[in-house]
Amino acid sequence: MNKEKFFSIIFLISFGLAGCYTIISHPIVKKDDSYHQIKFYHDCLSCHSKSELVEYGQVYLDSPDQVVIIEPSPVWITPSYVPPWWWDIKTQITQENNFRPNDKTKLRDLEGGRTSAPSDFSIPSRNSGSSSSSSGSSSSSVKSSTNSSNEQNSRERNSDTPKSRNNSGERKK
Amino acid sequence: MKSKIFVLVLLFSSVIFAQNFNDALRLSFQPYNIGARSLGMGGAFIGVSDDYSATAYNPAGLFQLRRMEFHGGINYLSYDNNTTFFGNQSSFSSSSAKLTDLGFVFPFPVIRGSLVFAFGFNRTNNFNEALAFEGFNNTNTSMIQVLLGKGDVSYLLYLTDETGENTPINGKLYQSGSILSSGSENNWIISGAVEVAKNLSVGATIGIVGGEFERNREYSEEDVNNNYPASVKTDPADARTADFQLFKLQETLKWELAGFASKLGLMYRVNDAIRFGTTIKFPTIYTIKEHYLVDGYSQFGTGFSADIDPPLESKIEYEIWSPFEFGVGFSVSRFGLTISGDMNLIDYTQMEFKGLSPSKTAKNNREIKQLFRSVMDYNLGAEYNVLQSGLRLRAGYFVKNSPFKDDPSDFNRKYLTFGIGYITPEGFSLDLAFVRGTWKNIGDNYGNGDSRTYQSLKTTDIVFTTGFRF
Repeated sequence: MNKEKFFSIIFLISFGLAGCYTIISHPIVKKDDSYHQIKFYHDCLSCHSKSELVEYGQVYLDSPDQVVIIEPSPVWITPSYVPPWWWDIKTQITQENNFRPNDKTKLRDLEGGRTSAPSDFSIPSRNSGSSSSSSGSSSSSVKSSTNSSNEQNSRERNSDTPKSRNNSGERKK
Repeated sequence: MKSKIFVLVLLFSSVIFAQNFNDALRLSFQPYNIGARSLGMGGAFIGVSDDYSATAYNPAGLFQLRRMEFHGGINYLSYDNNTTFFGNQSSFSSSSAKLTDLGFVFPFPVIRGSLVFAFGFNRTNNFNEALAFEGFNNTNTSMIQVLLGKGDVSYLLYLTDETGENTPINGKLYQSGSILSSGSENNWIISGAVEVAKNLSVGATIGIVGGEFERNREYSEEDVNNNYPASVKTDPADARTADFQLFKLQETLKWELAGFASKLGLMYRVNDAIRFGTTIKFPTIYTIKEHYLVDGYSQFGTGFSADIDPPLESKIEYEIWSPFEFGVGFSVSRFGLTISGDMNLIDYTQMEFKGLSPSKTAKNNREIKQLFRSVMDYNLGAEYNVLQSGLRLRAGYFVKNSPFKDDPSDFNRKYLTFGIGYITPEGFSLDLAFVRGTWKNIGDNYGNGDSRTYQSLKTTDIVFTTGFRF
């Protein structure tokens, strides 16, 4: 056997022994009696622990607004070069959907269904005006309402009425 | 010494009018590869290979890429040949500016590991060469004598008797000439790498080879001392052929190249600082469509002149297989400094002709075994990321050994390289490399040292590459 064949065979054997480390697609997940195809932009932490993800070269930062991959950061590569391009998409989608189960203010998953409530979940009081199913729009609505009430009180004070209009009406009756 | 003379005899006896080992060497000997960054590091890139250039050096290195990348480069190559020919010195230069590479890298989205593809265009060999010489050859030899056994040129130019086998001309002529070569070998490549174990990747590049080569040779012999007076007729039966004065020969060799090339690579990332790579380049199979033209001219003191009209020509198609190449390389990175080294083993005796007549094929392949040897080329390089700013300074050195047996060490090509590059935080990169090569060579117009040029060669290659990672 000449050396060309020898080296080629060694090379090809090493291919065979190397196995398959790279995973292109996630196994289909059964959840709530339905099957889900997990895409690369889904949040791994909804099912996996950080220690598992370290093994996969993927770790999240703790900041709730930031989903960043931490890969081995070789000194020969500019840091901007390290995050895979598809994480830009993942970050964007994750932020748009607020899909972070560990963030206790978010309850919807990407499919739009309910998830199990966090352990410290409690129905908000009517006085606080908060909503369990949404965050941003409801919250601003409540603030708006509160502001209107304050403005009303301000007008009543201008008319030298020290208490609320409702209380005043009841006493008259 | 005896073997060297034998080598030279073979070398010079087969230069004219036939395919020979020089043709195989032209395609198999690749001085260096693509990429300003890699060349700035002396071409020591098997253990680095973390940009598009990996497709040419070590495709397994592509697994390191996480961002898509556009990559393109151009070069300006200057080739200077200072020749000594019978005590006379001549110089001849040629230059070319060409696109060196244009490609795209696409890392496939994965859950774990890495899967990266790349495709593009790589110009892998530049055939630019130049040679000029002139001087009085006082020996009793001439090209006219050599041509007696090689076709009809000397006969058609009235330099022989009517049998075409005898000539009174036996040297002491003023000889001059030039050779100008151009062309390039191009590869349209598809490349891929996959991380098969943690930090271990395999990769492959396959390429469709194309390209062209053209070599123009002008050669003349002149009777400046009137050694062939009016009393000497090159054709005794033709009085017009008295008083020989001048003989000119013009050759044009044109190739259209096609073929298939492939390369496998492995890379192992020991940790953030150390990487190893190894590669196998399989024989490239070249299919050559050759068009060869010969023209000539003779002039006599009688006022008679002759030329070959139309020029002699031949067309032929055949194959050349380049040898296996085995490469290993490493890189070590610490504190912004990367040091890398490569070694490449090339056994030039594995070059092979196919598709010529059986006897011609056997003769050429036998000569290849007799003339050539295995060589171990090496590359060394360094890159410093200045204060982690994205500004990078590079330097390197590499040696391409002469593939001929018994050649002295100054026939080995030695290259010194420098480079500078900058990559912005947005991923836009600019790289510039300066590659300076020096070596010596010899060439013979015919015979065994009877008409030899001693050449001192220098090349200056300025390579500019730009890329965008996003």
